[in-house]
Formats: sequence, C-alpha cells, structure tokens
Amino acid sequence: MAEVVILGAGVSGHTAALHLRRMLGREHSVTVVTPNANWNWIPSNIWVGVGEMAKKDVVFPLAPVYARKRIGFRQAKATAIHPSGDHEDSRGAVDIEYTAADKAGTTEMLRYDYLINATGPKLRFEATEGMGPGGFTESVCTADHAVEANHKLREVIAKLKEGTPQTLVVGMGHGTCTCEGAAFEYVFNVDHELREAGVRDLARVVYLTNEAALGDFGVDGMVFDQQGFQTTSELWTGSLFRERGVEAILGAHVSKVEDGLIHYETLDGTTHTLGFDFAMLIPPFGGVPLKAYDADGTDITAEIFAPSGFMKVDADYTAKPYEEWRATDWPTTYAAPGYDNLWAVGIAFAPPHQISRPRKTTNGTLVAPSPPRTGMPSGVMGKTVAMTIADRINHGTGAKAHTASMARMGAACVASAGAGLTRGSAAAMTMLPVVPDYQRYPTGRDERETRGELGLHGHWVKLMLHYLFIYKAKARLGWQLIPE
Amino acid sequence: MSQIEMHTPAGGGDPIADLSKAPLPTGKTLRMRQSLPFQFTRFMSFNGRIMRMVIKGHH
Repeated sequence: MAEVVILGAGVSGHTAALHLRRMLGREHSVTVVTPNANWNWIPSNIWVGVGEMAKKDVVFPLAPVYARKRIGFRQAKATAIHPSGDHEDSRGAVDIEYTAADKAGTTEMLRYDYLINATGPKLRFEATEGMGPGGFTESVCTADHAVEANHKLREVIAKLKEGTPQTLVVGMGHGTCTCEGAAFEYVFNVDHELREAGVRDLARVVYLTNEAALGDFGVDGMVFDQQGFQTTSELWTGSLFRERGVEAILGAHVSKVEDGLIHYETLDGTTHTLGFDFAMLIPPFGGVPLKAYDADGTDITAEIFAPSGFMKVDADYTAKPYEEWRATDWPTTYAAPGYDNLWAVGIAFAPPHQISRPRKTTNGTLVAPSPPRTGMPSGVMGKTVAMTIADRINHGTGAKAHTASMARMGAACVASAGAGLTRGSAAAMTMLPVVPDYQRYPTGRDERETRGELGLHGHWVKLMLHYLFIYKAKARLGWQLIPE
Repeated sequence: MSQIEMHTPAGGGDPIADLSKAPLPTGKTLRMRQSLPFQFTRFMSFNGRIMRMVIKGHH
C-alpha cells in the first residue's frame, strides 16, 4: 500500500488528486491537505469582482467531492517537510496544522511515500506598503477579495451617477508581479461595467503595470499572424485600450499606497503619484512558507526552496543573462533534485528565470514581471506528476517520469466582459508554447496557434470553460474526458 | 522593440503610453465582433486551436 499526500487543492493539486484516485487501486491512499474548505475557479473571480457572478457561482465545498471519491481530506496548512523522514521513520513526512474551526491549531505529522507540493502562491500584499484588502486597494485573487472589490466598485459607480468624476486604477502592485492577464481582464470588465451603467464619460480608467510594453503579459509579448501579416500583442492591446479610452502607464513599480494616492517609479527612474478613487492592484506572489528538515533535524529549507519560497525542481537555475535563456532551462518532470518521491507543480515550483526580459529603473529598482504558471499549464503539470506517481506505484519505482514543459505546452487567456450569450465581448488569446523557444520558432512561438482575437466568441469560450472546469473539478460523470 | 512609447504631458502629470498610433477597428470589424454567425465560426476555430494545443503540447 502506498500513501500519496498532496499539499494544496488549487487547479494543479486538485487535478493531481482526482487523476491519482482514478489511476490507483483502493489499497493506496490519496490525501489532500489544504487550508481552504472550498475549491475556487479563480479565473471567474474577475466576474465576481464586477458583480456579474456571485461568490457561490465560483466556489464549492471540497469535502463532499473528496468523500465521494474516497480521497482523504485534511483542512490544514502544511508547515514543514521532512523529505528523508526523521529519527523514528525514514519515510518522508509533512507537518500540518489544522485550519478548520473545530480543530484549528491542532498539529499532526503525515507520513508519505509520494508528496506533491501544489501549495500555490502566498499573496504578498506586504511587499508594498498600503496595498491590499487590509490597506487601500482591492484584489480579485480570492473570491472574498473579489466580492469586496465589487462593493467598492459599486460605490464608485454610485458617485459617478451623482455626477462626481472618479479615477479607477487597475494593475500590478509591485515591479515583480505576475498575472498581468488578470489585471488586463479586470480593467476590460470595469470599462464594460462603467459603459453599462452609462457613466464611462465621467470616469478616468488607468491600467498601471510593470510590463515594459503593452501586451507583454509576463510572457515577453506575442507575435500574431493576422490576415497574412505579423502583428504584435502590443499593438493589439494598444488598439483595444485606445478604442476603450483606457490610459496605460508602463514599466511601473508601485512603491507605496496611501488613502487615494499611489506612489510609483517608472523605468526612467522618475517617481510619480497617481490619485485614485478605486484601485485593484494584484500583489506579487511568493511561495507559501514551508520549512524543510533533514532526518537529523538539520534545517535544509534553503536547499529545497528558492529564496522566493518556491520549491526547486528539475530546472536549470544557473544564473545567466536574458540572451542566454533557453526553453530547455524549464523543468519537465517537476521532481525535486535529489528526491524521487517529491514534486512541485503549478505556482509552487520555482521557475528558472522570468519569461519577459527583466529590467531595472535607473535607480536600480527591479521591474521584472514574473512568469505566469496558472490555468492550463498548472492542470497539465498536476496530471503529469499524477501519471508518474501512478506508474511507479503500479509498475515499480523504476518507471520513467512523464514530462510536460511550459516550453512545449500551450495556454489560452480569455479576458471576457459582460453577461449572457449576446451582450458580452472578449479578448481571447492562445499561445504555443507558453515559454518562447527562439531556437525552434523565429518569433518564439508557433504562429499558426498563437493568436489574438476580439469578439463575442471569446465570451462564449470563457463561459464554456467556467462551466466545464467546475463540472470537472466536481468530478462528475466523465470528468476525466475534459482536458486540462 | 516597443512600438508604443510613453509620453509625459508638457505640463507634468502621469507618463501615459501614447496610443495615438494604435489602429482603431473599422465599423465593419466592430459589427463582425458581434455577428452571431461569424462569431460562431470563430468559436469553433478557437476551440479547435485549444484541442490542437492539448494534443500537440501537453505531454
């Protein structure tokens, strides 16, 4: 009998758990440890943040799903990993602390034969003074944050209806943020809501981003084939912003937020302040705080985790300049070096470097969008590692690892606004691969599959993905037929 | 190389990206973005692209 423990129940962790349960016999156990009681389809938090959906539409309780699928469930947070066990048992172990109200604070040590770290991000609002729900800006990173963002947005719309001009800022709260696509989608939705409310002319909408160029999205931008001509995601995004009257401030590092005032620095080293009545700023991500100990109790956290808190895997972490970055630097198996039963997937793995070119302001402040690794890639990583573990349990520990590199896999990003089937609009992008491979493709990506389109169909795609992925996450009949 | 430059107003203020050269859609393009028959073909095309990516690049 083998025991598999998965830390985290986001897209990658939950996907891994469902596939493992499907692929393993009942004599083997699969246990998920997550501090959250609910599963959240995070891409639809954007719609919650503008009131187009309610929180109940994007979350569901995990316990009934895991009970039905016979997956062990601990509502707890992991605090430490012992990959080589301890003085009592050489099997690996993980320390957990319960977060559910009835057992809050209770600790337990779980032994494992195989461990997947899918803990997702720590939202580092503290990186920028005054940012976040405890400060002066909103967030859509969790469903609760999105509910609060919508409340604040409604207050601003009410003031606009009274005839008071308002400034709304959407963007990135630090020079090293990731998930620019989420901010892009939210600003698209805010603009749509203001138009629907008939108050767009009184509102100044500003997109404040750490991207050095519009349309960078943390992936170094894209080149599209449009009717036989090459165009860039920069011009494509610029066109959309011009059409919608959204102002863009690029290459910005937000240093501090006060009540109604954002302080930021741009790449030329100048500092500025931007007044606001409403601001939604995405925080930088860090790894969830986890310690690691050797069997004798020696702290090996720095060996297992990068300084960012993300877990090191089979990537090439050699420091080298942007010009020498290669697609092969990116991990393929997600196994932790030196351990054949420990993996990190989704946001939890440490990327070898950014995808976009990192920059510094003339004052030395780092402005470097971090690589996105959510959504489709996260699900694929979770399934890939699940297949590796299942093979090793079913066919022996020598079974070859399955692989899935972000430099080979594609992703879709759909920024959709509106509700219903005929009144929405969307900016829909696909890219293949996520990490550009300039040795393989002249533009870094397959131009046949890398596209940007605007129109109602993107809205249908986003709605379809919403219902499909929630159906899949609930492990309903045939869920495994829905691709990651 | 960036095609959209930042521009700081002469009287001061925020450095805003100069979008004046970004192409605007024509009336026909705007109508096609909402045309149900045309958008249905784009919907099928988009889904086809996602499925090709799943087959080509996921494993």
